[in-house]
Amino acid sequence: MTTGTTENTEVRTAIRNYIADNLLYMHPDLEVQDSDDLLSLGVIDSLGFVELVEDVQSRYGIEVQDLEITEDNFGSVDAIVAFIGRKRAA
Amino acid sequence: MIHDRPDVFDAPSTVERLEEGIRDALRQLGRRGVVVAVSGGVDSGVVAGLCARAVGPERILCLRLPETNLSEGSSDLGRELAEKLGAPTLEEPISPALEALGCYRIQHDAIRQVFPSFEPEWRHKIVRSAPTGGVTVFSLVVERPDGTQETRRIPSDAYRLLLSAVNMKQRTRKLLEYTHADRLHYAVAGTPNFLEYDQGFFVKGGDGLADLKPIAGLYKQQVYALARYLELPEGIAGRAPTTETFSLPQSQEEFYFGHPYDRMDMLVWGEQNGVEPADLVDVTGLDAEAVDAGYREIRRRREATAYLHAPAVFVDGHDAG
Repeated sequence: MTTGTTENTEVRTAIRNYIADNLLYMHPDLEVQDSDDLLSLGVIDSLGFVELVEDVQSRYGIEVQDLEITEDNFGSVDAIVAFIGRKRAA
Repeated sequence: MIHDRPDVFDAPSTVERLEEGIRDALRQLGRRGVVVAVSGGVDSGVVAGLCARAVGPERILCLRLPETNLSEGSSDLGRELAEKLGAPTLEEPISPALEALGCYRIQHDAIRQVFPSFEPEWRHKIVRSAPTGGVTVFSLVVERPDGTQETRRIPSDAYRLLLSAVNMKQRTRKLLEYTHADRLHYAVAGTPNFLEYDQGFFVKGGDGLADLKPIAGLYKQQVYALARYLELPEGIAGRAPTTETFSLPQSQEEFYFGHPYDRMDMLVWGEQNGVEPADLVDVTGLDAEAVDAGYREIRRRREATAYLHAPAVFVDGHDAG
């Protein structure tokens, strides 16, 4: 349980960092909460999602199917963390 | 014009206004004629037809810029159009220039990132996922000489590399259009229709570059209506919209819009005019939720492609004080 929480925190930090480095560098005034909808905020487009998915795949060694690239799974930091957790548990 | 319903449309008065607009544009630009690159498609056909009526067919040049092996028959349609209009026409195949620029090599390198055993004789295209209003995923389709097809998701860097290569086609065409425009002291007409213009379906410095854009306010079904009204050759007036970009036949719907053009017309019109999704169910054949998803995708695409319309940013280094 403790390990799971630590892993979860590490993933959350990594995803936050990815978003800050790759999506927010031109939006210094924007504060993104973990629950914020990244598409609605206008900080990511479809190709940006694909890059994010590629990063998640290579970083965590998981395979993401086309049908899994959805807002439900990748729309927010919370969603991404939960998705990675489910994939790793599977 | 753009606030009219796409399917409610008066061709004669529209043609009259566009002709006057084209003459005004030329006066403003100080040019004495118009270069139109004719692809064999309905958009460039209508632009050529309108320009011929506005300034006289002898003052337009119909340029045919086929890419060998890809635009099969397009150049013939362009010639048929020019003959029908009584306009001068020239053919300049762009494949040798593209070859020299490395377009095909880059294209093949990009495809091999996804299909390492790809051979130049295979055909290919990019297709998008079905519209959900959320994330769009692009896939590369290849077809081997024996007809078998395979589809794989295309990574972002391969996608960008492939698009950068195919955009060279539009930019090479535009280079030739301006070369002839300089020679003749003509203006260059752009051929985007309203769907392409509004949704950013054009190449910056390619088909997006022009001195005047006569049909940028017309929905696609209005362009088809004008093609009939102008009595363009049947091969052009009845031709389905294609991208003419990849070696496999590809519709604009499967690559970009995600909907057939008449439905896309209604979705863009509805989104622009604040029409409730429920009120668009009958004309689109979609349920209200899918209409709403269409609206979201239209807004996002418009935002994502805003930079294509933007003029160069003037960066001022002077001390304002």
